[in-house]
Amino acid sequence: MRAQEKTKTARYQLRYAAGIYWVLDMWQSGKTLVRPVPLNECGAFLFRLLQEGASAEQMTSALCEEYGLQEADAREDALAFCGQMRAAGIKL
Amino acid sequence: MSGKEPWIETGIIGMDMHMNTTIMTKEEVCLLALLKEKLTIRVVSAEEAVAPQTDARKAAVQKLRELSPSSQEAVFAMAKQHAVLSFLYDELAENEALQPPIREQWIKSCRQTVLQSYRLLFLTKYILQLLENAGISVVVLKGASAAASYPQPELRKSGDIDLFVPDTQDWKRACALLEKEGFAKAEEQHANHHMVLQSQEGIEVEVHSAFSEPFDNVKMNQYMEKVMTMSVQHVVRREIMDVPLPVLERPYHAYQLLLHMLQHFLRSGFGLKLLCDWVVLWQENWTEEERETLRQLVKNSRIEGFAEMITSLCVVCLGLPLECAPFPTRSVRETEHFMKEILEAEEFGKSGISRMVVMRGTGLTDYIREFHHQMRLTYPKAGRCALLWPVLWCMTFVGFVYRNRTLRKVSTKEIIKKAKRRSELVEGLRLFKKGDS
Repeated sequence: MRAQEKTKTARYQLRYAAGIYWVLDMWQSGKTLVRPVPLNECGAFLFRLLQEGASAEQMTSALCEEYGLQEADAREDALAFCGQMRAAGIKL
Repeated sequence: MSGKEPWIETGIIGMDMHMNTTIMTKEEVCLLALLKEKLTIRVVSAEEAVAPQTDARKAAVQKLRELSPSSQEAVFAMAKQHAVLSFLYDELAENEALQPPIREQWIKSCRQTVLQSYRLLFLTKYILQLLENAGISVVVLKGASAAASYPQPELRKSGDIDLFVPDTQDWKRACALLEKEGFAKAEEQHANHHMVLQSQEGIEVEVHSAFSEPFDNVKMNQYMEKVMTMSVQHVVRREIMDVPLPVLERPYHAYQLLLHMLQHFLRSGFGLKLLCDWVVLWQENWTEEERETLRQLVKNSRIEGFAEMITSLCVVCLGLPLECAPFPTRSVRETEHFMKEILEAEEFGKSGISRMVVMRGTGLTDYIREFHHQMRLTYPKAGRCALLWPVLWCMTFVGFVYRNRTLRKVSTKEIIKKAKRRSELVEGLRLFKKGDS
């Protein structure tokens, strides 16, 4: 089996299965599933940073370092990611 | 249990599936080799981001690559039919021999399995909250409970939720409460030991009043009743992906899994997924006391032969380490024939409509006993009155022939022929009989 990627927080769990990272809301208790947010490798990288409380600036620097992006592109990506997480109802 | 236990048949140690050329197809051998590697539980670090490249994995993947593209496709198709495709996700995703549309379709299927696992887990959590708030004691069986033994529980394919409510009054209350909460009672109820309800999303929830359907053996059924009563005292909370669920203690959980396999085996059969459950379950850290408890449950049920066969299949074909095996293993030849039977069955005997039932022997009395048992299952209430039996036998027979012709589109002769072949395998298990199997 592929290694289990699991980062625990009080509310969200990041799991890796079938080639996708899934952000699960562990606090849900309703009848209908709060659909997990599927992420790719880069999304999971940013999500982990977000969980650790990183700011948009810190995420930008990390993206530049890890993926060799230009700072402007990295900032755009980091902000877009944070916006997408908010839109998906993820509150960190 | 140590590797020096006298019941271990030394001939099995180190057995390689290469030797099964006379019985197994090369695709079957390959699928088993891939699963064998996947089910071997090893400690991996959380940072490890790629599938571990062990020698066993390399060899299994090599075996796959040596096959023609159509054979490789057959391997994955078989994995899908046995509900174990998601275990092979890595091999599927990196496979270049498959036609891209087919590969994409199957990758999607693996992801649907994962999503469905999450859906079932959280729906289970919701239902448990509902029932427990109403003071109803409930236990999660099979699916989520079995998935807990896997390193990645979400990869175990599951289609429904199985809950066991031991108290009869509570069982009625649980069903009524679920109905009140919008779960609809399924129009067709196929079993006497559980009620099927459906969520608005179409997910089936089976509320069990018993571990399994009654078997055609009074003593076995009486003992199963006793164990079910005892099991109330053997419930623990176990976390599945950090969600705590009430499940049976390991020996009782294993016993229930065995009964579930036996029940399906005696009908149309079961596929590889249930064997995979057995393989991972026995790689947990069992205490000798737990093992002994299970052995007693199995011995008193007189299903040692079946437990041994299931264990043999797992050791011989799916790589369950011998030191983990809870029961003595049986001969390699017998095991191979059983595996062939399981490979034919696919998930819950879906592959062949001629696979209806299996008898405990091949004599005339076995046919009569099975026919009578089917009558009792079809007419559980009326069947209690012996005076009605002749009428019920006629009705059962007519119904059987009618359904074969109109629904199953298979001849009754074909069903009986298939049942005879499978029954020959069962004879050696000495089901429900006293003494050594």
